[in-house]
Amino acid sequence: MKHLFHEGKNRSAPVLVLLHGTGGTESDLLPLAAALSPDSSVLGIRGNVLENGMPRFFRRLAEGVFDVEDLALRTRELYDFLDESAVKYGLDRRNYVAVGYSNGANIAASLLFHYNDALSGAVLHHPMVPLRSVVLPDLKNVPVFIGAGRNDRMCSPAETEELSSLLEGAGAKLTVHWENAGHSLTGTEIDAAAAWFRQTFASIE
Amino acid sequence: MPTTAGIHHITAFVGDVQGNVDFYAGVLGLRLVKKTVNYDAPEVYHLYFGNETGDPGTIMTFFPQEGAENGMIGGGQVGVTVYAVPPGSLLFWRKRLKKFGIPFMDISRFGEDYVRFTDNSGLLIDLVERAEGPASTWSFSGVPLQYAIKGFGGALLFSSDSESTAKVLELILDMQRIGEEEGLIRYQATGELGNWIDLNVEDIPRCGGGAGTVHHIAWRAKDDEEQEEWRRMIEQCGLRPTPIVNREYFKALYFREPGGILFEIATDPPGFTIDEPLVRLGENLMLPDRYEPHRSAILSHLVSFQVRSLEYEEEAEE
Repeated sequence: MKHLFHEGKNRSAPVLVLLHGTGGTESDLLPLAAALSPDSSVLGIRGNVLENGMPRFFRRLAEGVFDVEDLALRTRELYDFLDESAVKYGLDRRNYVAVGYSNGANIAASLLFHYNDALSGAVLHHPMVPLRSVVLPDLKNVPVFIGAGRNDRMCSPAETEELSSLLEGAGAKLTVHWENAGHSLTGTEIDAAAAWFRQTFASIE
Repeated sequence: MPTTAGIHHITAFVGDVQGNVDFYAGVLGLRLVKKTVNYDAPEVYHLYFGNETGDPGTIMTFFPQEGAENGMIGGGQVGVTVYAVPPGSLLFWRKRLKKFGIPFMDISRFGEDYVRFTDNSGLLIDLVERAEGPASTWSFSGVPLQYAIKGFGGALLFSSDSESTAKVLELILDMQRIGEEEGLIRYQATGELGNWIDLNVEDIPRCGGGAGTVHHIAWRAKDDEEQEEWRRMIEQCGLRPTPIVNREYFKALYFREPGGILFEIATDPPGFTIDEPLVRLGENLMLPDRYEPHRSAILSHLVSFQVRSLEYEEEAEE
């Protein structure tokens, strides 16, 4: 997969796996990574699917309607790539934390829905429920931050609640941060994510 | 060998009836041309929306059921229903969808721009600008004639065995394969509406039906004789058609093509003015003779609804 890798100063800090929104690139969320954990190694990934020339991580049929078959395939593809990247760059595979926005947050959530060892944590900005009627793996104590907007038209508050309860039901340690904004990544949401990150992964740093 | 002109009608399962009517009449501006019941399950409405006369190639029909469980769009179904709007009107439709808070996205295929969204039950809909086909003569709910939907542009089929579905389209329905691009084959039928059919190349696994999925797609036969011919042909191909049944407004036969999609062959005549005058289409609950004696019992199972203009109401509130 097309990606960038920046080696961090602190090799024991979580490796940040950056997953952009529709139309983004592997470098889009670098400022976010710097805010969350400036000393972490960073793996920025570009989605393999093109929608009218815009990179995405999986196909969709319409706004908010996912192509579930493609989602399963692309989730596996990303999982395999995470494995490969650990070997290639000499990273601790058990210490990957996904940082995703929108479409990138959705595929990160899909990783959590499919595998219990894909991620050791996740920062999900405006995620939706990636799949319904599946049994989630045991995510006991996997810390997850969700940033959501009360006026998010693409991802309704009800959807956020549904995702939260699914992840919590699987044992994840969930923090939901609400903004009054829409489907945008605001400064205050980034601040909240950064504070959560410092607190959650303090023992590692 | 008979050749289909294209889509006769498309029938789908949806949720609550008022929501369905508000979407197709209130948002899309189509005409409710017939209000009847599902002849195989008379406790359920069967609503027909189309252009002013309900011409073949414009008719979308629904079985609405309150609280129906949602199906999943996938293989063995019509994936996307495509509506044709006049050239230059997509901008109007983008604004209109935005006004009603309906999320949409722009996509393109075969060099054409499409606006993709879902109806309130989750059915996938594409709007595309097309010069061919007669302009709409029906204006409703704030959709001016110049931008009004003409009828179907076509459909995107999601086959779970696309090679076999392709054969059915080519060899039985006699459509022309006119293009191929990544992941899709395009077919053309001879009509002016409902005549561009796209088919997925990669097989899509079958999905369960339910609200928000298409039940069947019907192809046009110009008369009874042609329909009979098709029936023989389908049988010869080993595809087991149903007997021809009378649906009052057309005659129908059904067969499931190997890709899982339920196909129907429907006759153009007699049409929707057979039991109601043109100006009164869709106003009363029409029942076939065999159900007439049970009208009051049937009515007691049906939720009443209104065909209403959403634009006027909005203005009245201001």
